[in-house]
Amino acid sequence: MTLCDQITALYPELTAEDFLTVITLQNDSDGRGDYIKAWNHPTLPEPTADQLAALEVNP
Amino acid sequence: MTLRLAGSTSGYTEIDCPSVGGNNTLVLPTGNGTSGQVLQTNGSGTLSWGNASSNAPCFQAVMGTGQSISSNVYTKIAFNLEDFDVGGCYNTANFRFTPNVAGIYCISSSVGIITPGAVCSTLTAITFNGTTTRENWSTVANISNTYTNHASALLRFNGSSDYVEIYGYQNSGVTCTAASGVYSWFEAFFVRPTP
Repeated sequence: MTLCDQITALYPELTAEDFLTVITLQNDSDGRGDYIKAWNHPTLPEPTADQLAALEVNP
Repeated sequence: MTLRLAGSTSGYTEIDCPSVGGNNTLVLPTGNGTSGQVLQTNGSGTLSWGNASSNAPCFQAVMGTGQSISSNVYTKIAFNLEDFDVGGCYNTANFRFTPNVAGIYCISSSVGIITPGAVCSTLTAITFNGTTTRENWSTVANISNTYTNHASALLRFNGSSDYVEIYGYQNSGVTCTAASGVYSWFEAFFVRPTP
């Protein structure tokens, strides 16, 4: 499950436009994988590491 | 005071000094130099033949293989094969161009992304010191194909710490591949010193 999959599982209401405008996911090709670079959604809080990890265990 | 040298059949060539002449002595080199060389000074009046400065960094790099790009994730493109790298300013470990001569540089890159046959957006982004400075994106058709976006920029570099990188992006909903071969490249060249 990718980071984007985890986030959209947590917040199904997110749209593709949200990821182009208020949420920025990034991968610097340095072996550390995808990460949240910026989260500026007006209503939804940035997911915590624990929330994302729980989704990885129980997708 | 002017030194005039008459031509063997007609005309002349003059060597003149400024109206306020100062006290300058210029000593010519002993030889004629080689083709393309320029006359240079040591700052004390001794002239010599030298090569014109060629310290103008430029490079071109491509991808050795395709690269996975997760949906909705700005992904640094791993241009890991150098075609050339004059000045040694491109790093194939972190995919950064960090020129060691201050000035204006032309940056150019294309990233081709193989989409799965869904209407989606793809883009190529130039980031300068970690911040996106140019972005070229397009909406692609629901036909699986390799879609390329080209981005270019003229950027001012300080010649020490400033760097530039390329990111690709797609939002098809599934992981796609950034295509190697003729579709994706990253190149830059020195244009002129900083004005």
